[in-house]
Amino acid sequence: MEIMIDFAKIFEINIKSKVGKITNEDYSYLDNEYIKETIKKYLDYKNIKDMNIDYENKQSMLNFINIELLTFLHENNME
Amino acid sequence: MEKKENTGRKYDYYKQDIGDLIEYFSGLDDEKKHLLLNWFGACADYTTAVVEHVVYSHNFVGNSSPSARAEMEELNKKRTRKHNDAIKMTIQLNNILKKASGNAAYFFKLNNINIDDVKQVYDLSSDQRFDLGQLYFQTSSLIASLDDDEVKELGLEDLRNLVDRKVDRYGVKLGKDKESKNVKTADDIYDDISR
Repeated sequence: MEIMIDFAKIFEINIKSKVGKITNEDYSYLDNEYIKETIKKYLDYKNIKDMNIDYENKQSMLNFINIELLTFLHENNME
Repeated sequence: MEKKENTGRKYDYYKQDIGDLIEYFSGLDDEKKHLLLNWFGACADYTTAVVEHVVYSHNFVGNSSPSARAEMEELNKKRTRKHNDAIKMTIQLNNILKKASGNAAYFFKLNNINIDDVKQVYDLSSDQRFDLGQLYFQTSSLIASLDDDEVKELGLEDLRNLVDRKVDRYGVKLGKDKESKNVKTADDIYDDISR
């Protein structure tokens, strides 16, 4: 389940990049290859085999993370 | 402005609400622009803190050792702290919006949140805290979903650029000299200022 923390960090840095709050150290979280590998780990963790993700499109990958994270929060949210 | 008729997708209405908010803050001073940008950042920080806490809560069930307990307590405190940080900024935003006359003035009401009488974090009821938490997730999700064109369309890029101009006062070259190793970029300086 720690993979959700990796998703959350990518999600957070994605937002900060859009509002100008990103630091130099944060850029690695937005590296295409890192995002792609993190999604693949997540799909393995969830045992999802038939998900069609456009790994060439960063925003498409970020949207996938966004949706999965929000689903996780809705399922587990307490406040 | 009357409350918008809910005939379309919630996402589109909320995107428009955020657009109205950005438009309003674009006409304010840099300090207030920073507040709005920091608020978006605080929503993201809070979301991460909740995810960390929830994940470790699940793990904690199977491992209630003293070190695991201490870690859980730290994550719980972090989550509360990030929530309070975002709430403090929300109260400041709302105080600014009370003086607004355009669509932005209705931002919190449109999202069914009324914090007009709230002056301090501890004035909030648990329901209000919950509602604000949902607002932070919703805001985070919306900003995360924006592509480059939407960032421009909503005025977020302009707002960010306006604030970035502040770095000129620090006597640092920007833009064309970006490739020089000795010259800091706007992002470098923005980080320094923010800290």
